[in-house]
Amino acid sequence: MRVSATRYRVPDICVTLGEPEEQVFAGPPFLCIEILSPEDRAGRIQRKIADYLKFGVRYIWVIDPRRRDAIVYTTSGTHVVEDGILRTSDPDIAVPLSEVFD
Amino acid sequence: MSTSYDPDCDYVDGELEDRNVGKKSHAKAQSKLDRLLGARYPSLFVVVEQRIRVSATRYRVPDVCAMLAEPDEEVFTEPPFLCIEVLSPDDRASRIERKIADYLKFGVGYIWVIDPGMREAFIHTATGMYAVEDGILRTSDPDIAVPFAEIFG
Repeated sequence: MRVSATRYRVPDICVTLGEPEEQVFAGPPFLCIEILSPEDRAGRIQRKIADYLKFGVRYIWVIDPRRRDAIVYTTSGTHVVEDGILRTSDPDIAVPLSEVFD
Repeated sequence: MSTSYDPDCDYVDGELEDRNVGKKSHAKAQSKLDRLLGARYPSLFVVVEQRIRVSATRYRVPDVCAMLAEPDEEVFTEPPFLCIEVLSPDDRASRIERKIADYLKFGVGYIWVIDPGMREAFIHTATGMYAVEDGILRTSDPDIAVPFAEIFG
């Protein structure tokens, strides 16, 4: 997807609220999911998350399979998933981490 | 947690996590931030590599942190106003993402994540995260402004 005039990003998974007409998305998805690998470096992921937020992505799930945890970024704050369920609001999505890791 | 390690490590739920320190770009940025903040904002208490107990089972060691007043305790148990992490090329996203989340949950007001390699920085607060686009790292109440050029120059 084209997040700015000079940047294209490819999330591991993204969810849009309707099917976009364009081949390369030019509007922000509702949800972007990044699944960390041990090779992922901190600076690159920070930059990617900042790009998504600036583009207007409402939810970003950063999932760490090795630690079996996840962090949720939104335009209004950041938190660790403490109850084992990845969530969004409006629309409500709830995905138990145990189902992701099994 | 009275044991000493050199360099000091993060202690997370019973495991020691190495911090990527010892490389020049990291050491240089860390030293400059410490000196610059200490000199320019004398009301702040600025320290490097201070052990902080962020929860019952977690101790974190920010590269630099700034408190609004000098704490009495040897290991801090209250959230700093500002924590700074200087990234090294070897820093894994997994470790840094979790560290940032720990700081936010603990109540740290501002977290600056500085990437000397890419000459970029990111600011995290309780209300969101963003990339620094005007070349100046900032906080509010108290107001701090540190130009990138002074860190990387």
